Order: sequence, then C-alpha cells, then structure tokens
Amino acid sequence: MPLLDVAHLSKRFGGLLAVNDVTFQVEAGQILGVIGPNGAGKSTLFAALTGFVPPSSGQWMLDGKPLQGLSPEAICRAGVVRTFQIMQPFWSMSVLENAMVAAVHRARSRAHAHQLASEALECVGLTAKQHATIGSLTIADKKALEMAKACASGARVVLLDEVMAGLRPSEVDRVVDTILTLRKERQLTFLIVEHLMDAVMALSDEILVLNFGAVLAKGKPSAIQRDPHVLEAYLGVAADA
Amino acid sequence: MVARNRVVLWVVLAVVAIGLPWLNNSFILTTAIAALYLAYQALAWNLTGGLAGQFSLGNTIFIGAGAYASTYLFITFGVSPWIGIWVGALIAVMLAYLIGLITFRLNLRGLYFAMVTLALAEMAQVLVENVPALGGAYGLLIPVRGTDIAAMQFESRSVYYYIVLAMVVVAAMLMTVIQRGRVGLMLDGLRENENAARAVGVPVVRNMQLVFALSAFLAAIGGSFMAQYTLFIDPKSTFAWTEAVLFLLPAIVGGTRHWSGPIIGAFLLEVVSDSARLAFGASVKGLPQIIFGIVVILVVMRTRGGIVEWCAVWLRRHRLLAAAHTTVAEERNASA
Amino acid sequence: MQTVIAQALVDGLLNAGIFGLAAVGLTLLFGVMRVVNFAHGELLMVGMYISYVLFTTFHIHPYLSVFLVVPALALLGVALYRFLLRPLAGAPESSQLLVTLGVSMVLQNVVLAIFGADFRSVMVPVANDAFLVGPVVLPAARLYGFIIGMGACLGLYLFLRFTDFGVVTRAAVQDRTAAALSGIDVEKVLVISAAIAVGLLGLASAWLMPMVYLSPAVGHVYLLPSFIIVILGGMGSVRGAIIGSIVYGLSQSLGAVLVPGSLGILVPLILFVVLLLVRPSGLFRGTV
Repeated sequence: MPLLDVAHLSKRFGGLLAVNDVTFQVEAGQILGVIGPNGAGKSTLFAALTGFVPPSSGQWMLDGKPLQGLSPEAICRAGVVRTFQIMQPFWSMSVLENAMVAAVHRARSRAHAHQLASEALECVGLTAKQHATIGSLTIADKKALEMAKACASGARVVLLDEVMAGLRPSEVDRVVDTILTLRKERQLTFLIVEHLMDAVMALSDEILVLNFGAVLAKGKPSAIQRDPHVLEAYLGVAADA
Repeated sequence: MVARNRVVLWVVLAVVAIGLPWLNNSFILTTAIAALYLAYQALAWNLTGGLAGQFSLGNTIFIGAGAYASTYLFITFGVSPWIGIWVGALIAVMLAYLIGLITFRLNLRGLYFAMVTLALAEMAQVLVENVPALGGAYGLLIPVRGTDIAAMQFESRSVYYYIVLAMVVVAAMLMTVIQRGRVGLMLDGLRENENAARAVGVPVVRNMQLVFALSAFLAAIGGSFMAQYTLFIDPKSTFAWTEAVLFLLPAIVGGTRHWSGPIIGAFLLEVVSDSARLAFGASVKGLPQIIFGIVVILVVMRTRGGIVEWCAVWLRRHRLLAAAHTTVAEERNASA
Repeated sequence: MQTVIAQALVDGLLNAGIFGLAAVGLTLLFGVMRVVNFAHGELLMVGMYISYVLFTTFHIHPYLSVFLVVPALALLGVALYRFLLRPLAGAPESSQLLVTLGVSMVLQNVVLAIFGADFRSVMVPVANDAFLVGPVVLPAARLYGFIIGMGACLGLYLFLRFTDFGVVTRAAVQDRTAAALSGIDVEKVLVISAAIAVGLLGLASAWLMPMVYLSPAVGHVYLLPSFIIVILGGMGSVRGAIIGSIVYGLSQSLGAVLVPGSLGILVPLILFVVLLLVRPSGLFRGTV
C-alpha cells in the first residue's frame, strides 16, 4: 500500500481551477519531485494536502488513514508536515526554541521537547547555532531550520516547498545531503517542489509534473526528461527544434 | 541579578508581605488588599491575554459567576462560601468552555474574541439584572456575621489580606508553571506565528481553551472572595466595562511575560489611583483614569513588554555598558 | 400591536442613521489601517461636547455647529493617526487596540474632569418636533439624523466606489505594499481616511445633540454596537456597515418592544453571536 495516496484532488478559487483532479501515490521512503511552471498549482497542492486550504473535492490518505477535513495540526500529527515557501520561523525565539515548538506536540515535557529538538538540529547540522537568533542566520541556515522543524515534528512525510531557492550551489548540495540523510536515518518520505532541475532530477526517485493544476506526467526522471509534453510545457525545447 | 541579591530581595519581600498587618495601619492594609486583588485578577486575565495573546474583555462574566454563585448559595441555602466558591469556579469554567466553542473553535480570535467577550459581558449584566432571585438591578447583600469562619467572614481585615496574598502567590505560581511547561511553549509558538505553529502540530483550540478555562477558574474564585470581602454585589459594578478594562491594565502596564508584571502593574496603578484621589480629591474627577490612560499609551508606544521588560532591558544595557567601561579601563591600564 | 411594531420599525430605521455614521468610520479605519479604534465612542462624545459648548457659549444651533465640529474632529482623527497610530505601524494588532483604549480613557475622564458627570441637554425646538405618518410618530431630530447619516454613508460608499481617490483607497486596503509600489501615496490615503472616519463622527455628534442627554459616558454606548455592526457587515466593508447598522437598529428597537423587561437589549447581542457562528467573516468582503 502506498504511504501517501492522493485521489482526484481539486481546488477551485472562484473562476480559477488551481488544482485539477490530481491523483498520484507515493511509496514509503520515496523522494517525489514536483515540478511545473509557476502557477501550476504546486504550492496550492501542498497547502491542500496539509490542511491549510480546504480542497473543493478529492481525498488523500496517509497509510490508509483519510486526511481530508482535518486541521493543519491534526494532519501534522497524523504524519504530514510542510515547510513554507516564504519562510515562517518564530522570529523572537532562538534556533533551538524554534525546533522545540515543532517537537512539543509529541513531547512529554518541555525537557523532552528540548531533547527531540536537539536531535533534529543535529540531523541538519545546526547544533552549533542552536542558541542563535533567527535574525543572525543565513538563508541556508534558515532553510535548514525549516527542515529541522519538519524533522522535529515527527512527521513521516515531509513536503518541502522550494527549499533550495536562493541558495548557492554548495548550499544546495548541503540540502540534498540533508534530505538523503533524513531519508536514510529517519525513514522519511519527501515531496519536493523545486525549480532547480539538476538537483531535482538527481535527487528524485520519481517526478510529478503539474501544468495548469493538472498532472501532466509522472515517472522516473529519465523518462520525464524525454517526455515531449513536459518538454513543451516546462523544460524547454532546443532552439532549432 | 546576583544570586545573593536575589535571595535578599525575596526575604525582604516576604517579610514586608507577611508583616504588613502588624503595622496596624488600616489605610495601608485596605490599599494593600485592593492592590493584591487587582494583581490577582490581572494575573488571571494574563493567562489568556498575555500567554495566549487573546484579549478577553469578558472576564467580568467569570468574576460575576463566582460572586453570584457563592453569594446566592449562601443567602438562599446557607451553603458555606468555602464550598460555594468552587461551585462558582466550576460554572465559570463551563462558561469559558462554551465561549471557547463559539470563538476559538470557529477561528474567531484576536479582535473577534475581544468583541464577543465584550458583548457577552453586556449580556450577562442584562440577564442578571432581570433575575429577581439574583437581586435584579439592586444586587445582593450578604448578612454581616462578624467573625464566622464557616461563613467566610472575619472582623479582622488581616485575615482577608492573607487570603488574597495567598491567592496572588498561587496565581503567580500557576502562571509560571504553565509558562515554563509544554503549554507555555506551544502558546509562545502560537503567539509568534499561528500558521507556522499549526503546521508543526501545535493544537490551537485545545491550548486556548485550557488557559481560558484556567483564567475563568481563577477569576471566579476572585469574584467570590471579593463578594465575601465587601459583602455586597450588584450587576453594574460587577459586569461593568470599566471593571473589565481595569483588570487588564496592570498586565499591560507591568508586563505580560513575567508573573511580576501584573503584580507591579497593579501596585503602580493602585498607588497612582490613591495618590490622585488624596491629592486632588473631588476637585478633579477621573484623574486616576486619565493617568492610567496616559500610562497605557506611553507603555505601549515606548516598550514592548511593559515596565518589567523595560527595566530588564535597561539593566542589561546598563550592565553591558559597565562591563564595556571596565574592559576599556583595563586595556588602558595594560597598555600604560 | 401593529402600530407598536410599525413604530419600532421606524425607530430602528431612524437610529440606523447614527449607527451607520459611527460604523462606517470604524470599518474604514479598520480596512485602511487595520486599526481597532476603541476610542471611537469617546471621539463621538467629544464631538458632542464641542457642539454643546458652541451652543451654550455662542448659541450656535447644533445642526449648524457641524461646520466647526466636523473639521475639528477630522483634525483630531488625523492627530490620532499621526502621533499614536502611525508610530505603531509595525507593532502587533494588540498595541493599537491598547493605545486607542488609553485614548478612550483619557478622553472620557478629561471631559469628566472639565464638565462633571451631570447630564446635559441642548434645548432646541427640533428636539420636540415630530411628524405623524398615520399612527407612527417620526421625531424630527431622528428623522433628520437618519437622512443626514444615511446620506453621508451613501456618499462615502459612492465616493469609494466611483471616484479615483476611492479606488486608490481601496487599493491601499487590499494590499498596501502593492499600492505603494504602484505609486500610490499611501500616507495621504491614511491621513484622509482618518480625517473622514473621525469627521463622520463629528457629523453624527452634531446630529445626535438634540436627541440625547449628554454625559461623559454617552460615547461608550455606541462602542459595542459600532463594533458589532462592523464585524457583522464584514470588517472593512462600507456596504456591510450600512446594511449592518440597519439590521442592528431594527433588531434593537424590535427587541425593545417585543421582549419584556430590559431583556430587549439582548436581542441584537444574541443576533450578533448567532450570526458570528453562521458567518464569522461578516456579510460582505472588500471595501465596497
């Protein structure tokens, strides 16, 4: 049974059909890259899956448990967590405290949350900066913190929304390493929205291509890269073709 | 603060607090009771207002619930206020839960919460005014019994003083325990950025309901106490808008993030109020409120966390400056 | 009985004129500045006292005093914005709420200190005039108040809907940053909105004078209804505030006659709570 099973998910904003009958499955431990032009509905899809935007229709299940209609916090506790495209740290708290808030819902006490948070920070390599203020962090650190929060929340499926945007190549490598490490050590499953094609193609087990809210294609990276529909819609065709 | 200074401070405070009645000054005792009660209700309000960031303008509902429940049970059925207090508190908690259902659960927070609680407080006043059994608009008088422990009445004001002092201590401890525990951490996250907190699993409704219920619980107990102290309750003075505002001012002025904030704020406001009345008496009506209003404006515009935080920041900066001076002086000596 | 209800309907409708002026200003302030103005009732009260002083000192009829009271209050509104609200632009929502709360305390008690708590009234002929339409009494003062009040509200609505500056204001309400980036002078929008919102209170106060007994607490009576109307109508929606004030006025007057005792006051409050359950965001969205 697939870990995450999405069936006929749609979201309409007035006249705009942002997500159009999207259906796909994700196996446990898989990394699914979600790509598509801007406005293709990727962030809306994430928002719907995590309960921030109520869908117009459709269902999705985690390990057989239906998630539609649940609040964001309930979905997180069920096991699906997201990061935000525009980062949303807790500005007045330290890095460690940020992670602690993420861990506290499943912690027995504040001390336990502290412990869970420390472990999460270590996974992403932020232990040295755990007492730093958010304002003093670089973008790369902030992104790592978002991932640490996702990790600390105890979710099994992590939805990363453009977590590599704005990073230098070396920082992107660091993020890729972190994702792979988290997959291996914590058995996490990832859905990654990205525009950095090299990274996504290399990292993903499978790619889901969205266009105008609908699924255009789903398959292995190599197949996607050769799919004519995808090339026309998004990846681009060679100038002389 | 140096550890030794801290211990000294606590000892001094304890001595002053416990020894106050021995001064045998009725005015000081009365003022202290008033200030402590204000501090208590401010701490109760702060559980929702400060910790959860939800400004309740309806705590008077819970205060009234406590006051009317214990008073009614005593006058009508002879039930000892020591028991009546808990009945009132229970009613208040249930009311808080219901109010929470129609606000938090429906995502009505912030301004909406303030307005709904305000509207409900007005409703409570009208409702009570129309119930003859509760004394209607005239209120209820508690028969004076002199010193009658079972009836929670004491000739000596000192007893009331110690009771309210204990209440303040308990309320302060409760606030600290919550703040430093799991719930406090969750509330911090919710206050900072509710969406981000929910995204990582922090339940909103559950936490808000919890602190709101606790707030109501404490407020009701306070209401019962005040009824026993003044031996009179009426809808107008219990549910008035001015009362609701009065109980939030100390926390705003003193600071919402530490238990000392509401207490310091309460004493400050009480001192201002009494001084103004003594100095200008009847000639300038409403002077205390004018000063309160100005203080609130100043505090909100100049500080972020009330007077307590402002002092803390000032001390820290002062110490940093002192440390910097010392370092500079040492370097100068070394190079000389 | 029919007469009683008809009278209540008329009373409620007429009251809506004044409620509308207060609510419309409040919703504009919220829409444009995201400010919860707790001093709204007290500003109205200040307008009334200015009108009162003009009457007792210079014998200026309250209705004529508009020409002085409206500009005075408009200036007061701008001052409030400039010195107390603008500095708090980035602060959490609660800060502005608290500042306006402080202002309301100061205003109410300064007036109390100057004038005392005695009830005062303005004895002008129009206070006792009334028209009779069939069995229904239309008090002249209330009728004029309704006409002027609703007229001004509709004027504001049309202004926001159809004029250039109205469009600019609505843009600033929707997305201040985008508006600024589009070249809109957002500061000017804010200043003028503050002037209009509080100026309308000046209009209301002048028209209220012959109708009510004046005391420092008179403004507070309008605070809760104003907020209820604004929330019901949709925060920031002028259309919602106009319709909301009619709904509120009607429910208040019908409640007063249909429900025994003083419980009639509960009707609009219960209506408020019920409507919140059904539609928390209010009747309308957007500014117009």
